Amino acid sequence: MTRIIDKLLERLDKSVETNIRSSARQHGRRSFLARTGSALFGAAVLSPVLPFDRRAHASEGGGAEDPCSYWRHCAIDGFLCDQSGGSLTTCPPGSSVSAVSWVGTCSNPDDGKEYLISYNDCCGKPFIPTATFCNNNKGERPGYRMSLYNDVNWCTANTDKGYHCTVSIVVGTAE
Amino acid sequence: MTLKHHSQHTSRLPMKNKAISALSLLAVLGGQAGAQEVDLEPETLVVEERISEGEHVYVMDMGISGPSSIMVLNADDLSLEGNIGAGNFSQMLMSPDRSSVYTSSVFMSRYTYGDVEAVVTEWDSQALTAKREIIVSNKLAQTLSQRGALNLSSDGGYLVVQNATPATSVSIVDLTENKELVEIPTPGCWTAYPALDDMAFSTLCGDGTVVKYTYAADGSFGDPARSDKIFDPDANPVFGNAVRVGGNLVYVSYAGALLVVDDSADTPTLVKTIEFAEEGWAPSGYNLMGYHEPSQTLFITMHSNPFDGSHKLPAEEIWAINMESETVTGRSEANGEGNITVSGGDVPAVFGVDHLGGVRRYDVTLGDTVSLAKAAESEGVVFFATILSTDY
Repeated sequence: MTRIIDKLLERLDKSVETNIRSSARQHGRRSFLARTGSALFGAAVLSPVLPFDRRAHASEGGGAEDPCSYWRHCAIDGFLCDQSGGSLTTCPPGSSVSAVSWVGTCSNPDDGKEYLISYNDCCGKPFIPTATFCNNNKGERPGYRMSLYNDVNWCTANTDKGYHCTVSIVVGTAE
Repeated sequence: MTLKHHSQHTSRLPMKNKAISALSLLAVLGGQAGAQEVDLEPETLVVEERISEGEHVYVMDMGISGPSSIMVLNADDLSLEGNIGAGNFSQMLMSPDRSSVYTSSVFMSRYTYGDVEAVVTEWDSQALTAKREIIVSNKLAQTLSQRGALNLSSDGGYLVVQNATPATSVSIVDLTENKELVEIPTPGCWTAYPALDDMAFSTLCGDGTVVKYTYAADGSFGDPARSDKIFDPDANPVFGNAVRVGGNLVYVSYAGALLVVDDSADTPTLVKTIEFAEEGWAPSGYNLMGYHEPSQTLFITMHSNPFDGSHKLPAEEIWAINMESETVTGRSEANGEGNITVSGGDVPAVFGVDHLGGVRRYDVTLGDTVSLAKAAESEGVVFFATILSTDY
């Protein structure tokens, strides 16, 4: 059900935002660079999709041509879970949600508001080589601001620590 | 044909055995037949004892779902001479005498899940074989290979290793006793660069300070010594990559200023700030700096039209900065590198790897103006390009 909703919302978003600028680029799977975060300990586990502000989704977003330019991916660094068997807001079957995550603040071009995004890794399986690897870094900081750092394996606090893919979860507004 | 038919009714192992037997028989018969016709010298299978004499560049292909592989290339033409295999998220450090490569990495018992074992390995840099392993805390940071995550103490007796759970700490590994000596909590701080004159390291912290920690051979460690605030993590953060210039540590800010930090005293101090970036340009990359001591030249990867989030973009240029005159002495075209290293020698070579795994050698012309010229390149050498180093 969640996946169906996600697909619908994704379709609504279909026009692709552009304000993440040209750098919100798809470096392709060879780039790399991981993920990070710490602030939202367990947040995604407790509320994988909530708080669910629909305005956050009803914007331009995604698009098959450059999925990395979807507005909430403004600080993502990893393989897209929606191309790995999951969706925008779900981990693929049999994986586990990272207990910790890094966060970004992304602007929704539809309403001009800033939203807090939790970048959770999904864990315990190999990455999917055919999935798109996105490497965006708005607001990203080195590990001395760990909750903003996307170059560590955020599955590190899980029982199953292997990195699989990354989701971008709207968890609130930044205002 | 018979074998193929038979294999449908037997296990895979017998099939394999029969196939080997058949091939062996063919080989014997073939050998006899050949011996009757030509005087054939049988070939002998051996293992190359070492890579070639001469100069090499080591390029990390960081594994995130399995082994990391350090590709060892001939420094002249970038041809492949061998590799070194470590675990997931490996770090890499070349020893000062270039005889050893250290890695620190994790091994998951089921490749992508299961118990984790963290291992420091010392490799023979020329034979590409393991000299020894030391099991360390499984808190070892699973992070992009970077120079601040694995370093050697000035006396060569200890490795200084970054941990992250993601709570941060630093492990001191005793290379004489072959064991981890102590774990030192470093909350809110990242990277660990050893001091030159004492058993200590300095780390960048989220409040904009540099903090120095001392330790002793018995495993004790002192209170953190915190500098004044020397950078603004919000408005103008500092990269984790630092280089030694003279006795100081040199960091670089996102906006393009060098922060020269004296870490020799009890408490680190900011010596000076060198604003070098012209309007419209800023540093970008991961292991983005390298220093050539004889010419006092620092090399750094740069990009144009910077914005929030552009600090990891592929390089458009590599700039040379003379650290004595504190001026930019050269700007040369880059090819998307995100990581560089600088060789030794009177005249250095700069090596870089881009995010698609392409490796390039740039020959350097020194003088009042410093320039780089691409001398060799090899595309697609690695998958997840991170750190690189040379053995000269």
